[in-house]
Amino acid sequence: MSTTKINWFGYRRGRLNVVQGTVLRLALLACAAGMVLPLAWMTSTALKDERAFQNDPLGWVPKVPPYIVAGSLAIDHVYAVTEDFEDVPLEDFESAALGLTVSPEAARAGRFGLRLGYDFRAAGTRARASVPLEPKGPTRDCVTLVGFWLKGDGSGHNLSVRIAGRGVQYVSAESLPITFRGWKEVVCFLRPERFEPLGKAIIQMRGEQPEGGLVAGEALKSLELTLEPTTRARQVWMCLTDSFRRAWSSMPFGRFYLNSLFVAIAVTIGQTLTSSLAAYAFARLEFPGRDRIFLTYLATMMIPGAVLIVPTFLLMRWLDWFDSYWALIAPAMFSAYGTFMLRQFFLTLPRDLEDAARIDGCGKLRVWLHVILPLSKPALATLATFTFLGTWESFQWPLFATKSMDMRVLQVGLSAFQDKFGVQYNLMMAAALIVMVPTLIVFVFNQRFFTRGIVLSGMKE
Amino acid sequence: MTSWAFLVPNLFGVLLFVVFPVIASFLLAFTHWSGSRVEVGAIRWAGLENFRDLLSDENFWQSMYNTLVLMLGVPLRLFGCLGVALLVNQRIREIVAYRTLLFLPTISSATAIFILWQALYNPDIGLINRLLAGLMIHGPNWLGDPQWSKTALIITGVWRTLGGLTMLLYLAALQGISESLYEAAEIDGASAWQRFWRVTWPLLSPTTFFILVMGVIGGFQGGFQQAYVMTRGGPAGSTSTIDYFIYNEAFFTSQRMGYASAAAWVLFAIILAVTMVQWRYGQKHVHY
Repeated sequence: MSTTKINWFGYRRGRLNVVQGTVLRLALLACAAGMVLPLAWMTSTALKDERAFQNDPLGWVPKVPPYIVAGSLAIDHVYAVTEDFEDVPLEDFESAALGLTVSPEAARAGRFGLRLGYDFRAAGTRARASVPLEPKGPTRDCVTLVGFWLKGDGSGHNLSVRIAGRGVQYVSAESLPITFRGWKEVVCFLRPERFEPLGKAIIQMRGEQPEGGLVAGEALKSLELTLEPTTRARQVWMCLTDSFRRAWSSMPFGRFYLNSLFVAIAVTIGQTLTSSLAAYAFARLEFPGRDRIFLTYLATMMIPGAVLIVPTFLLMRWLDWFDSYWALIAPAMFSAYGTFMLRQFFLTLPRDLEDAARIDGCGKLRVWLHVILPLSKPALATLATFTFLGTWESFQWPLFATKSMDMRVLQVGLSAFQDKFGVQYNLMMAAALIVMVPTLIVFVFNQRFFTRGIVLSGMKE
Repeated sequence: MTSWAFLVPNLFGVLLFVVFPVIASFLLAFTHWSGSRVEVGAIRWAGLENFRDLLSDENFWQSMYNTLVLMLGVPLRLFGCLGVALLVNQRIREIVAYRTLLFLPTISSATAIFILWQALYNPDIGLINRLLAGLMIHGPNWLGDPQWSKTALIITGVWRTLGGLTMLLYLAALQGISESLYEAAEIDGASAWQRFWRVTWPLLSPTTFFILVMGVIGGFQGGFQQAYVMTRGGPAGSTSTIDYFIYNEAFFTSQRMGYASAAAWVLFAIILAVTMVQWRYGQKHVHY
């Protein structure tokens, strides 16, 4: 094991002549360009929304649609879904009341049902449209969602929805920015739902006075749409972050983060604890068979993971730990490598302090806790850092040991995202950045801490 | 007896999750066992059949060949990292910025990096073929063409590790070389070229040896994640390493647990043999 230390911030002192300096800087710039170009491409692709990516997948600069002060949206084909998942058409705008006779097909082809025109040139204005809801036939089942098709213009103005019925009204909890262009299905959930329909815009509704619960389809009376102006800056921001928001909402990345964090912390604590206990036994305590057991430990470090993974997997099935936190944490918690590393470090500690503590009447456990551990902070920190990073990055074992979305860790979740969205590179790059960036930020601000231990630990790649 | 108590937690874990699996895996290598029926009763004795089947399994040999070809990345990475280490060990004030930048892929999620490169390799809208088109070169279908897929994977692997841990090991070793050696060589009239090959390179040999041994061990048992994320072992099995072959047999295609275990032990034997040869060589040629 190498014990060289690295000086991350140090460099050789002295001067270079002009030619040497220039050549060196050019070479470094070339290396830097090789690193930065892919990452820059990644970022620029992630900043494109769906439309920008489809129209211009090659461009470096993501295109933001123009800011529209006066224009119009269109809505069509309003429907409701009941608790029994029955689809109830509410309005196809064939009624003469709106003065329009347009079928949904024709609407999607470019003409539209109801026009929602707006003109925000005067300050403080907002646009409103109201659609009377007329269920076809008596519908007594409770309605869980109301949906409609909306033709957006990418203006970024905020749409809020109000659904009124006999004895109840629902108001959108948050407004929906119209960042998309063209027809898109908008779904208004009347109660919190777990599933997220792909490719649709979602509005969560809140029931407001007097009862607020779900009502039968025939009780719904009207759908009111209100459009409020946005600022140019906000429109640009919404457009650039569109892929990130869509990536984040189409897979439970928050859950993945928590899983990864929980597993990595548990493994780190467990491994540091059991390794330091065992290392203390190997380094300082006397008991029969000690050296033979230690040699066995050393031997196990040579065994490739491929040998272990099949029986470990079967063990998980027998213990009924498959697809649980136990499977993610337990097998990673006991490490021969960590024990070995800490033992080597403990051997270098002076014995005098321990002896003094023993003479003062400290037991072995207290010597370990109050003498050995405080003296070994650098080694423990190194082991903990690398255990954490290794667990955070681990891919193979979590891939095979878990199955459900709820148990996926970040790395595996990202790979599942890839299975789902394949070549939609704007979404893929956004998701990859969501996974990458927090670690990068932590690293950049703690470089000394990261690099200090690397060489010491002998490293695995 | 209390001494034992310190060892027990770790020993228990190592016995359960390392020693038991090793023994079980060795026994499993001589059995037929499907992962779809995990109860002990479903095990059938196979004798040496798994090993015989391996010898005549085209996929196994192809994976072996792929693994060896992909290991060309080991020396490439070694010299690349040495080059970068020499560059970032120079007398420039802003050098830490370069070190940080080059280290970023190492600290990034490997899955994310592989996904990024899969997109970069897209034959139509990927960055690489676009840059090549700028040079009037018609780029290949990197990941879709069996002739290019391994090259693509090697390039990604080298890019990802160029400023990483290997580079850091070299940087640490370079920082450990005393300036006075170079001054003495300079007084004796050695050119920069001679100073590198007569002073730096021999003094780096323990590091080089360590990196080579670890690289070869890692090369034999690696490649799963990259192949899984970027190509799923394809096209036409051209990027499936032994590692990928084993997991594929155990978990994806037929769930032949016994067969996969046999392959894992063959891999272990190969690694052991190669490492031993390397140690022999190292004892003769490395200057400590």
